[in-house]
Amino acid sequence: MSSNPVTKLVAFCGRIVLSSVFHLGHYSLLSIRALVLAILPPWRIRSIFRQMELVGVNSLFVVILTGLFTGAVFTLQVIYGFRRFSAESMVGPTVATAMTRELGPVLTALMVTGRVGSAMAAELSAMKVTEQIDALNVMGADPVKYLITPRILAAIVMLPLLTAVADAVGVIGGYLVAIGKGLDPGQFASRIQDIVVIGDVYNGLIKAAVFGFILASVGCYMGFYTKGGAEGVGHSTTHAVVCAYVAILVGDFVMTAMMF
Amino acid sequence: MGAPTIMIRDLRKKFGDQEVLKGVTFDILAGKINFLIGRSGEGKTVALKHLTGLMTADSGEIWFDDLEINQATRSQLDHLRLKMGLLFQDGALFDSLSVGENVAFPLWFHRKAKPKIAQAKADKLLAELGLEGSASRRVVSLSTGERKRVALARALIMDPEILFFDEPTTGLDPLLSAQVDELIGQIQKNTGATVVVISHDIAATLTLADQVSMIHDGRIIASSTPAALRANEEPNVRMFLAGENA
Ligand SMILES: Nc1ncnc2c1ncn2[C@@H]1O[C@H](COP(=O)(O)OP(=O)(O)OP(=O)(O)O)[C@@H](O)[C@H]1O
Ligand SMILES: [Mg+2]
Repeated sequence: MSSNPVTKLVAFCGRIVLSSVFHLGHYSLLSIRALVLAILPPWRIRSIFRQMELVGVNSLFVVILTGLFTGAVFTLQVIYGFRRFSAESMVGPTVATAMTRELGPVLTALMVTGRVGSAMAAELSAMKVTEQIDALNVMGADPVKYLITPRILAAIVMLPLLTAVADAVGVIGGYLVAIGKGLDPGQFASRIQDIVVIGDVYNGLIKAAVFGFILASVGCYMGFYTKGGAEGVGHSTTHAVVCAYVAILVGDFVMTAMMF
Repeated sequence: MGAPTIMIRDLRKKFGDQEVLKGVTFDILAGKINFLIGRSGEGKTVALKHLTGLMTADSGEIWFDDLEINQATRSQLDHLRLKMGLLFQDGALFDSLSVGENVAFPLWFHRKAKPKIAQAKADKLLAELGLEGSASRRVVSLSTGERKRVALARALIMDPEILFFDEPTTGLDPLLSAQVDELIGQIQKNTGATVVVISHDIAATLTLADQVSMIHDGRIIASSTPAALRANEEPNVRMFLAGENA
């Protein structure tokens, strides 16, 4: 190896590119396999329900809190801005649109990634380093089908439900703040019905399903390819959260550009 | 098809710069008890993981009768694995399941038996291993020796034709060790399975084995009956036998 700083830099960048391509390839293969196996029998309905329970119950409380305070603080800011133009009647629709299109799906996904995506990575990587995944393999029990498929399906189903909760709670939070700030409660609600279309809500829920896929598949991938003991478990958990965050935000941009 | 012969030919494996297997060649006799011995860190577990398809060799061949596992399709490999039982050195128990669920898992997963029957079979195996009434215990509450026996029960529950045991008696007290050794001998006699045992227990090796193979410095340096091994003049074999007897 040359000690020339330029060659070093090129080598460093090359390594990063190679490892990104490597991981992206493996990640895609694993995700596709997990989805294909979801279609093929035998189906393990019970493990899917078990995972749905874990995803939903574990996250419901944080999702409600996040939705409530996001709606509330967003309304505070909107009222402050809109008062200058005497556009208080538009506060309700603005809050509702923002919650259903963006804030609900994205913030729910980020919170669930922190709670559930990280737990998936930690659980699978602990199974990996204690050879439990090898044990499944050697028993002829495909670990992708047994461990990863149910987690991904559960997240795809549960994220839209949690997002719907966050949307509703967010609007309620906004409503309470609006009343507290002396806005007309009837106007806040009725203008929402006039202006927010059901397509806003649907598109937000579709986003949520995609985010569910991302956070579960990334969490499982990071767990599944863990190396090296307890330290590896920590690394894969951190990587799962960071990578899923970035993927969710990038995916959000792409989907928003396509949808609206 | 009866229990298979396993032929290992020139198996090589490197981890980074560390060459663990440097051309391992030997046969595992069908329907016999085959011991694999060698010092700690010589690659016994690594060799076993190659035999079960959990690790892929850099080069070399592993034949189960006329199936070479590196060229086997996934479904051929799955089919072969249905006939295999493997006891991992550290147990590899599923810590999200209870002891009973762990043992019954292969039956449950492959839908080979109704849950009640699977559980009854698991209970019976656990009782044979001195763990009666443990089925509902959590895996985390087990001692090392208990883990080992639960894992042993799980390896046995499908009545496999090929059995791999990675140090089945390490961590057990002498009484239990003797019991497990006897059980292995019995199972082999009853089922005619091909059995591979990794062990550090020289006394058990020399009494139980039909064939003993010794791995040293990445190669098999002896592969013979226990009697022939005792008479082996290879210095490393001599040293190993003497050291373990002392
Ligand atoms: N996945 C792996 N990655 C890197 N090195 C490994 C891996 N598995 C095993 N090794 C190395 O291979 C060598 C042989 O390990 P192995 O576990 O096969 O030893 P062993 O003969 O079973 O020893 P023991 O009797 O202590 O169980 C060791 O030096 C180990 O560090
Ligand atoms: Mg070992």
